[in-house]
Parts: sequence; structure tokens; C-alpha cells
Amino acid sequence: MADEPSNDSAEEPAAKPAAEEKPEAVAEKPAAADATPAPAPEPEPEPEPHPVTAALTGQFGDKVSDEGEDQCGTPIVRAGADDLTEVMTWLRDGDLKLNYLSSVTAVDYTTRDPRFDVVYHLYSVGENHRLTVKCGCEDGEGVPSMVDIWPAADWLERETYDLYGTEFLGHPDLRRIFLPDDWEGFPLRKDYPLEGPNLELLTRQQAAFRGGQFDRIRGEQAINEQEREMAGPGVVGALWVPEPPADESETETPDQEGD
Amino acid sequence: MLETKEFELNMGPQHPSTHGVLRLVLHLDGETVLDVDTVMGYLHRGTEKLCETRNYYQNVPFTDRTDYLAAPYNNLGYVETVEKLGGYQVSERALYARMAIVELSRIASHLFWLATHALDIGAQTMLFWCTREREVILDFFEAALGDRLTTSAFKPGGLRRDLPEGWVEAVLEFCGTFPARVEEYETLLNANRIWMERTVGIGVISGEDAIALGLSGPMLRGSGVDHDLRKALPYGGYDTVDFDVPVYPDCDSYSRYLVRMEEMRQSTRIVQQALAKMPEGKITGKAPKMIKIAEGVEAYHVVESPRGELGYYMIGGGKDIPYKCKIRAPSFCNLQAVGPMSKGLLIADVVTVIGTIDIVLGDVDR
Repeated sequence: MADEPSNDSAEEPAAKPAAEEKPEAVAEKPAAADATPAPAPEPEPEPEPHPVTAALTGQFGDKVSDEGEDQCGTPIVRAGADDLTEVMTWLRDGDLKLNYLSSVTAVDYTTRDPRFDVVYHLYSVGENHRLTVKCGCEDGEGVPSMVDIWPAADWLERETYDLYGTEFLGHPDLRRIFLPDDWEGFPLRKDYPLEGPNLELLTRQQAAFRGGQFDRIRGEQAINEQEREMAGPGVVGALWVPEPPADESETETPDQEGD
Repeated sequence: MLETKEFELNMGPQHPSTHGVLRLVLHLDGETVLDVDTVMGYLHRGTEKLCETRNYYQNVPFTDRTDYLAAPYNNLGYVETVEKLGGYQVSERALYARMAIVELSRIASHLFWLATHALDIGAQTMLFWCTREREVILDFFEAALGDRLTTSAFKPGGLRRDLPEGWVEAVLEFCGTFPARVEEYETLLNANRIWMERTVGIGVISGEDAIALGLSGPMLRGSGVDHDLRKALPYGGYDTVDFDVPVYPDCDSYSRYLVRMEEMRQSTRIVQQALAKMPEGKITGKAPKMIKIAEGVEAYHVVESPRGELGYYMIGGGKDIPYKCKIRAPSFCNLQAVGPMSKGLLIADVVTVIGTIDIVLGDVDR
């Protein structure tokens, strides 16, 4: 797909710590780096695709693209969402016998298009080989569910949906698994703050702790209804007291007099 | 004719047999379980999110707190993944010291599983006997690592500090006496009529279903699937030691019990071999003070924790913090079997099923 540049950037750093394997790849890299300024376009042909990748591309051709290997030597391939069910069914039933779905997760590349990668880690219990399958997923769109192929996908996809918000089309029971049902937002997205969604209130409370005024009783009066609601039942009142403006104290006194 | 209707019963979140905070909604016909709805997340602390905000060294203590009954194994899975990402070498002394420590943690974890599982079913003696031996192992951890439960045992590249003097001899002495203790447990349970009636034929799942459901560890080996990642994809020097993988074909709680008992013996063997092979030398390793992994470099590394396949999927972000750190928790995937395994059983047997899966809720929820 349109991932050629990102593919290169994934290859290049891999060569830096590659002392563990492929000495010839290390030797070739500097030469390629020397060559890049002048001609640039054609990266040197892939050394030798992993046999698992070769079998897969032999079956599906352009529908899957080779993305090299990870640091453990596991081959990585990328498939489109439209072909995913077909490819995965073959992976389970075909020659590769990848009968074990080890994990499902997503990766949030905030600025990229598509935004998410849904990542499947497959394993063959009998044949003892691994494969990582990636599938791009735009925010709000989805990828087909794998529950019919591997029942293990049920909770794994629910977990991914819970934390990333990627939809799995055709999942029989796609709802949150860890977080409460009425939780807003998806915590593992990169734009979700670590402290939680009520960041503003929290930082104000922390500021109050660190040396602002700390007055529980007056604070309870100063907090407005919405803030109390956001703070939840555990927090009684607010720990933050805004500096009372000079004119406000004047407006309060006539009220008290009226009482 | 008596009118019957389906009945819903809440088991947990606070129930002694759930070993933590797990809620099961049982759909019952009389006392027979028709279906189980699992509700979890009470212990969800966002470990994966936290790991994306701390550097590679600071993340090690988070991994303790996932599977806290076998913390060294989680440390091992994490640091080995970081070593794969960075291409760091581990010294031979560190390699075997780690192997001994993680296998001791496997024994400790299985002991505590046996203690609580037997207690749930009604054999109270096991709790006292097993914690007696587990206490010795925790003392070893305290001496070598500074902590008993949340050990933060390893760092990328090796261990934090060398093993204390006399530690190896003490562990070897324990390994000499421990197999006799396992035999003691077995005399109490193996042919015990109550134990047999509560475990034989309870929680059956076939090998095929187990693979399809993504179960791992003793759950697979108790269903007749000969699969152990220490043999299949050797890591951390496991290809240099000699041990057997116990496999029992009966697919029930009793055969999973037999698997774990035998694993304790085999782990003892591994500890003995690892300590015999451990050479003198540097133990702290060669990883840089500030680990930086280039953008897009990724690794999915799996180890065989006491509960099964523990995987770490990490992607570097060009900085000293990981861009992504996903933990494939064995308890979470194994717990998925609680529904299929409990169907048609009685409520009391659900306790056995939860026990035989050997969940740790910190690992399930992360």
C-alpha cells in the first residue's frame, strides 16, 4: 500500500542493532546509504523473504505485502481489511496451519493515514512458526472480526476495542471488557491523557495541593455543580479555592444582611 | 409438575474462590450452570498506558504487578523483549542466574496455586504445607533481589546486583529436599477420594478447543497437547538444560493438577542444572544507561510463564520510552475458557474450574 517509506524506516533501524544476525545485511547497509544520495529510488532487493511470507505471497500475490521481520525473526505481513477474512482463513486451514491466535492489539499512529494498525500475532502449535499480520484501520471504520476463525479472538478483540476504539465488524458481543460501560474515550489512544479525561480539574487540584490554598469547607462552597459531578463520589468538595475577587466579597455582604 | 425458570446468580466480585476481584454472572437451571458471563476489570490499572510514559528501566516494576505470584517471570519476559529490541547480549552468569530465579518462581507460583485450589475444594492441610515451602523460596528472593513478591528482579542486560554469598548453596540444599515434599503432597491428594471426585471429569476441554481458544501452559498440557515454549521456541538458555514436559491426556482438572505437580519436579531439576552451569563473572550486563530504541523497531517475544504464554509486544519510538507495550497475559486468555468449561456443571464445580485455570487477577486486568 502507501507504506513504502514507513517500511524503509522500519528496516533501517533494524540494521543498527543487528549484531545478532545477518552480518551481510549490516555490510550492505552502509553501501546502500552511500548510494542513496545519488540514485535513491530502488532499494536493494529484499535479501530472501521468510519462507512463511513466501508461501503467503505465493498464494495471495498482491493482496498481502511483505514487511520484513521483527527483532525476534518473526515475519510481518500486511493485508487489507477487505481481504483479511480470506487471508486469515487460509492461514489457519492452509499449508501454514497457524491454528493459534496468540494476541490481537492495535497501534495508534496519530498522524498517519490510516490511523491504526490492528496487529494479529499468530502461531502454529504443530509446525512451530510465527507470523504477525497487520491491517490498517481508520478511526471510525473497522476490520472484520476473527471470532469465526479463532474463538480466542472474542475477548482479545473486545480488549482492543475497549482500549483503542477500533471496531471489529461481525463480532457477536463487542462491548467494553475492562472499563465501565459508560466510560468515555479510549485510553490507549495517544491523544488520551495519562491522567484521565478530567485533566483540567485534576491539575487544578494538584496545584492546590502543591501550595495553593487548601480549604476544604470553603472549597466545597466554591466548587460548582459541574465540577463536583466530574470529581466523582470519592472527592468531597474541591481542594481548590479560587482567589475571591475583591468586588465579589462586597456583593456577598448585602445578601447576608438581607438574611 | 414443578415450574422452573432460568436464574441468575452473582458470584463475586468479592468471593473467596475468585482469588481476587472477579465477577461471574452464572445463568442457572436449578443448580446446573447453563452459561457464565465474566465481568472483569476491577483491577485494571492501565499498565500498558503507563509503560508508554516511562523509560525502559522504569517499566520493570510495572511488570511485577501484573502477575504478582510469579513476578520474576514477568520481569524476564519484559527485559528479554527489550534486549531483543536493542540487540543487547546477556552474560552467561546472568543468563543462568535468571533461569534459576524464574524456575524458583514457577515452583512458588504452582505451590500457591495448589494451596488455594486445594483449600477451595476442601483440603485445608495443603495451604499450610505449600506455604511452608513457598516461604523458603520467598526468602531466597528476598536475599537475592531485595523483595519477596514484587521483585523487579532483572534489568535489561542482566541482574541489578550479584547473588549474595551462600545463596547458591542454600538453594541447592532446598532443591535436594523439595522433591520429597512434592511426594508428600501427592500422598495426600493423588488417591484421595474427595479430591478425585471434585477434580476428575470436571472442567473438561479438549485439546482442539484449547488451541482454538488460545489457552496455554498447563491448560494445554493437561489436554494432551505437547507444547511448551521453553522447548518449542527456546529462550534464555533453556535449550542448554535437560528437562521433560509433562503431558496428560484426560483434559480435566485432575490431569492439570498432575501436570503442575510434575512441573514442580522438573523446575527443581532446571534450577539445579542452571546453578551448576552458572559461571563466575559479571552479572550486571552491558546495556546502556539510557536505552533508546529507534522508531518502528518492534518485537513480539513470548516466554512460558507458570500460567502459559506470556508475550510482550513492544515498538520503539525513537526516544527512551517505548511507543507501545502490549502485554499478552496468559491468565486473561485462559480465563476465556471458564464459560465452555463450566457448562453443565454444578455451582460448586465452578469453584474448581476457576481454581484449575489458575488465574491471577492482576494479570487478567493489567
